[in-house]
Amino acid sequence: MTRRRRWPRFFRTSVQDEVERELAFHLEMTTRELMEQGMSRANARAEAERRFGDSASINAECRRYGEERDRRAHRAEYLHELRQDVTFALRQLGRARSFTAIAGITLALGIGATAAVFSALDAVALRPLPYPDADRIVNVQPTRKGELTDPSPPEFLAFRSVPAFEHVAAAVLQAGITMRIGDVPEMITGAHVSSEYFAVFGVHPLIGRTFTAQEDAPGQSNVAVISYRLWMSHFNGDRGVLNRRVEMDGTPHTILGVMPPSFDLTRGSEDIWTPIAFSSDDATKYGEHYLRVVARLRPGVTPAQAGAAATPAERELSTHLTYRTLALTDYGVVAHRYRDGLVGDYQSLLLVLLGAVSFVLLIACGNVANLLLARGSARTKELAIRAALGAGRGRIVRQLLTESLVLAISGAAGGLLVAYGLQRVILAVSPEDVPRLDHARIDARVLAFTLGISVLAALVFGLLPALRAARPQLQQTLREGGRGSVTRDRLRPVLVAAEVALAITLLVGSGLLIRSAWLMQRIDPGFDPRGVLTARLILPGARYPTAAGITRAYGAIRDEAARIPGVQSAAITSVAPLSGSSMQSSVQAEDRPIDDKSPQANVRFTSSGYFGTMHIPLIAGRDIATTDNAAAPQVAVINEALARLLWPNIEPREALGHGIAGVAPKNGPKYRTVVGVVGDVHESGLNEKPAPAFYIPYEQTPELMWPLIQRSLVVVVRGPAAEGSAEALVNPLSRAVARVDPSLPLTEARSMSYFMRASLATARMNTVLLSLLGGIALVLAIVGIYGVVSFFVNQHVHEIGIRLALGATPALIWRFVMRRGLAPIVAGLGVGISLSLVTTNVLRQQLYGVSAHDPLTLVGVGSLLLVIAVVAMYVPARRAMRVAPIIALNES
Amino acid sequence: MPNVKDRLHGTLDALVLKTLTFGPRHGYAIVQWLREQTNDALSVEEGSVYPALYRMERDGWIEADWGTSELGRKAKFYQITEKGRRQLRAETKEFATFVAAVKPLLLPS
Repeated sequence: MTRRRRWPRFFRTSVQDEVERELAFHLEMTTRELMEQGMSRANARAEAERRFGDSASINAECRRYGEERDRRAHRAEYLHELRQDVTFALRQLGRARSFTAIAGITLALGIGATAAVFSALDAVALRPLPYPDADRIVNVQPTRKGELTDPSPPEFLAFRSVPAFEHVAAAVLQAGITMRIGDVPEMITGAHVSSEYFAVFGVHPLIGRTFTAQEDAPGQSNVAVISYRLWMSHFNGDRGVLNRRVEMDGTPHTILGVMPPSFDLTRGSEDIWTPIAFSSDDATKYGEHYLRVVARLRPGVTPAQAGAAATPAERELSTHLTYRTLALTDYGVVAHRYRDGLVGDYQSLLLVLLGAVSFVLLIACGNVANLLLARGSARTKELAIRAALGAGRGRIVRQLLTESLVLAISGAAGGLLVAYGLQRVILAVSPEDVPRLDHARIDARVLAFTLGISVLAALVFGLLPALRAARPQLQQTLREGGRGSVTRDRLRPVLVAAEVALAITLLVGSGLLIRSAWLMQRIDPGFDPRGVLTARLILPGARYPTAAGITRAYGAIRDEAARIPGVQSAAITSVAPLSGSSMQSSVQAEDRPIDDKSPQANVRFTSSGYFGTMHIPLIAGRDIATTDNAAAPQVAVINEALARLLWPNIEPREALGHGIAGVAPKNGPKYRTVVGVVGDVHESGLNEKPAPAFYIPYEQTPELMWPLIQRSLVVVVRGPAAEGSAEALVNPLSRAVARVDPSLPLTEARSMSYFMRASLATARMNTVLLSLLGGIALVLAIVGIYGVVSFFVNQHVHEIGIRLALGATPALIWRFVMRRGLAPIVAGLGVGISLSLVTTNVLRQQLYGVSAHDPLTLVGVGSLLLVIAVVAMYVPARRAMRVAPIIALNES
Repeated sequence: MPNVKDRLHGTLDALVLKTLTFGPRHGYAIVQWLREQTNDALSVEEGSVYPALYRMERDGWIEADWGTSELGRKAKFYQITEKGRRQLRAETKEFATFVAAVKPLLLPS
């Protein structure tokens, strides 16, 4: 510190001195000349000064130039030395090929993995969403006693007049819109949105325009805005797409505009937006909570303030409810940032990965530091000679650090290749709805990050070896013949112990994830997915206006599907398990008082044969029958979970004959009789508890439900259990549907096995990526262990030779080497296991069926590492046992 | 056409560089040589040569070394570099252009 502060002053005195002496010399010379011409000394001096001019300002100017000159010279010297060091480093690295290769690959793995995870994290979570002032975009949801629900049309309309919001928009996501360009009907995902939707996000269309408030009204709404992705895939990016007409759900729509690519946030996001077109009728649909409301906050308003500001409107609205069970104060509104809903869990997941990957990088650094220490010992003679020739310690450290930096940067160059490959892996194993993951690129930000970590890495792995190597012990080193002293070897075992500790921590994490993945695979989903194909159908309202028409069509489709050769049975339901869609309703038991605590349950509209097709066991009573039609008595089948929930004191089978009611209609519940009890199904995720559920005959679906569910049901067919047989049924099924109505496409034709896999996608991403990192860590740690033991044997050839000459058995030598090699590993094991007891807590959310401190995993991982370590030590240890005493002794 | 002030500035540089083409000298000797060669016609302040020297040294046109002067005193000796020679050639050429441009106006033949 003191030295640095003294530098500028040192310059100043030196230049100042120089200038003063030079100017003094000039004045003195002039004075002398004038005295020779006969002037007195005093006069001559005065005349000289007069001729010279303003000496103070000349002095200052000279000093300024002089200082600049010195600074430039220093910089030039520094750059010159740097160039020298880099050339020298490159030559050194080129000479030590195997060292360079091992260190380079190690660093490439560490830096590359870190860069890949960073680029994913950057794309998903760090970059602001591509909307202006994205922080002001919020989701708005009403609450009931703090429980979130979806907004209804009247609620949306009420939010619009809340001044805290600049724009408010409603949206209904529609998973299957039948689009027809030319003759082929196709299923795409779209959304009905209100006209302010695009203003909420502040995004302008790439070409054309979005729809106006006038077009967002019944009768005017045959217009559409399409995504960039759809524009590219279906219209080849042709600008002539504007004003083209495409048929959507049976009605022609005019394409008004194309949104920019940044509007495609996830790989599965919407491809088309059409007006939601609320009618005056919709404005009174208080009970229909099916909207998504997004809003742009006014500048300076926080989400919390906005929620509070919208609450009075919400409460005012609930006074209109004819059937209200809650107190007015139980109604509220919550606004939360749009980004949080989108990025949500993935951010923490990626942060865990970044943590894991930084462990890998540290292990890589540990390895390279070890290699450098070994090289440093081998180079002590070279360095001692350089020091003896006058290179200062700082100069040598700088040169060695330059070598590290050159190494790290070449490693980073290879790391970019690794990162590129790993990006593909991450994308391949991650679920589809991770926002913007496919936007991850190796771009300037990632490059800057990579450069940054390689410089950091160079410091981490290079500093200690450099300081150590530059330690001036000239005499001793030169006397020893440059073999390096044995006492210096204490740092290397510590590095190995640290590497082992980090690797263990990572491996415990991946071990826990692998165990949970294994346990999750073995979960009985409650049905048999093998050979089952599901496909959603959506009947256009224009051609299917009545409930009778709808149920007739589905009945015919079910019968056609059952006749497909190879199909054992076919049925209809409203939501396939694990398909990601959900439909819930509050449920009320007839023999229980009506209170506010009526529980939520999944509700499904199903045909007869559904339980048989899915192999869901019937516990008691009967299946839904074809006779349970609209005219017949209202019935329902419930699952065991619902029976236990509603009637905790009786056996599930005894629930038969009780009355239950679904959504509370305005004029009191209508009860239906429980005629059957079936087994539980993991509906919303294999790792989630089966939810209570009730099944209603689809012909008894309440009339008002049909438009809400877009007249959409799911066909389920069971073929042979063989792999791929479900997929083979897609074409026969779509032909069967065409026999009923040729204009109906299949949407989301997926096998149940697909949904099984998809429901494990996030878990699989975790498991695959963390195991990959754990594997890399293990390999690197093993390389480190091998290197240290190998080095130890080389250093002790002499000693081993003496021991053998004095009659030591190879077994004794083996023990001697092993003891030295195992000590740091055991120490690292202990530290690593204690460390993992803390770090695995971050995985708790992702674990299934195992505790974060699962002893089996800890012991398993510990023994795995120990066994592999012993194998790694075996090679150098065997060399030690075979040392020929004569050769060893001769070497000195 | 070059700015007249730059021209004068460049001319002093060129004169100093020219002086140094005859061999290394210290500042006092440069001033003396300039005075003698121009018969005292150039009545610049003697001191103003020094900032020019430091600036040219900074720019690498000249190099300096401490040596012993004729009278046995320590003095800073300047020496022209290859870069300085190139600069001198460029300055001379520009000066010629300047004179050629100005001469017909001021000294019509």
